[in-house]
Amino acid sequence: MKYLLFFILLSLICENVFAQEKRAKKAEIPAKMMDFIKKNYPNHSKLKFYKEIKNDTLYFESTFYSDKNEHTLSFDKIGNLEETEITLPFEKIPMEIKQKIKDYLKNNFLKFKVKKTQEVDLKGVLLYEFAIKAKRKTEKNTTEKSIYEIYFDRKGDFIKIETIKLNSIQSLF
Amino acid sequence: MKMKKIVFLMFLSTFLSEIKAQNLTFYGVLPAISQTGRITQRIDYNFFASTTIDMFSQTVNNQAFPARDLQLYIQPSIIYKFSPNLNTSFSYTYQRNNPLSDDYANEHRLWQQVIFGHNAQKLRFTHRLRFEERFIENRVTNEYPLATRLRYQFAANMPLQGKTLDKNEFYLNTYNEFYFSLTGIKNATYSENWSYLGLGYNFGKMGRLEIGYLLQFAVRNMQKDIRMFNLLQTTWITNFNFSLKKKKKE
Repeated sequence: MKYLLFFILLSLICENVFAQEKRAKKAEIPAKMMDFIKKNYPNHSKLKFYKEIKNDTLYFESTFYSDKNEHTLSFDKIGNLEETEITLPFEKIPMEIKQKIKDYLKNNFLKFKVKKTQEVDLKGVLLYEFAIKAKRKTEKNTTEKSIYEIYFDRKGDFIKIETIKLNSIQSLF
Repeated sequence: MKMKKIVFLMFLSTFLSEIKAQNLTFYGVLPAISQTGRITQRIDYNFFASTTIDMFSQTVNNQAFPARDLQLYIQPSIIYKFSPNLNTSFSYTYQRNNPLSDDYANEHRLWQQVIFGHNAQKLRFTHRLRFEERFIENRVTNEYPLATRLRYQFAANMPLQGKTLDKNEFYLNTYNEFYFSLTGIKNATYSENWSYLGLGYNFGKMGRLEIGYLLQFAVRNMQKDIRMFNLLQTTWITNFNFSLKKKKKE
């Protein structure tokens, strides 16, 4: 049941990839959302607002910097907080958990490099999200180099992995 | 008296150079298609084809330039994706100049390129460096002498609605490309320059349609006369796979 909840919530995260996101004007932002940011992140900078429609529901997103970390907050249309993501250096994860995650990566990849680490709070479900560039063995015993997104819970237990689609860089002629 | 002679000679030389210079300006259209698809996780293919049509007949210094199709260009290529920001490609390209006329000339071309992309705010910049080995047909000798060329393209792409380009949204695309002829028969080392500004629309699964203005400068002879081509370029850009695997989930 616990894992089912994780997967449902994670699928919500993944929907961001396909969502239609646009810049939002400050006037469109719910007052409750503005109050939340001002109250909880008084020293924020480079604040930007976006709006997106997921499954016919309007959401607002804000990105900003606070305490030198990049924050991404998602809110529903009346300004209730849905999700927070904080980018942090991999080294800042507690030693024991970091070791557990490193062990998982070492056991499952031939080579890897952590490109981005995020602390995710999805309505109280606390996760780590990693973007890694890695090489691994496939089921067909060939090797695959790619960029992956991996989710762990805050104890360092593996939840889910996704292979990121690598698009070629477009140019004409 | 001496001064008068100098002024006269200066005037004469300016006048003669005006007669001698044969800079040409053409106006036309350039329809093109581009399809990119996946072969493996790391390798894509691209098929690009275009034709360049001079829309208006003109006569310059008693030389007729009829309206006609000036170029057919077919470019299949293979792309290797090192990362989202670094790709390399190679291609065999076929080009036929004046394809529907008796004075046609074929060109077989091999090229290799690296392309690097990076983001700055909403803008996506790309730098493309391409090295070409060109085998251009000489219709008199029936030979295909080798000429090499280096091209550098600097491009910028910007979604106009939001920070990402989504379905039913517009975007801008612009680039400048410098052409340097290195070896073989050439009119100049800095032999061509292409500048482009296009407005695109993303139809989603149906691809993107881009309409833009392309200005091609080319040194057309050893006297360094210029051929300037003003083109309305329309490009249909698709990106689909025959096996539709968007994301592998475990």
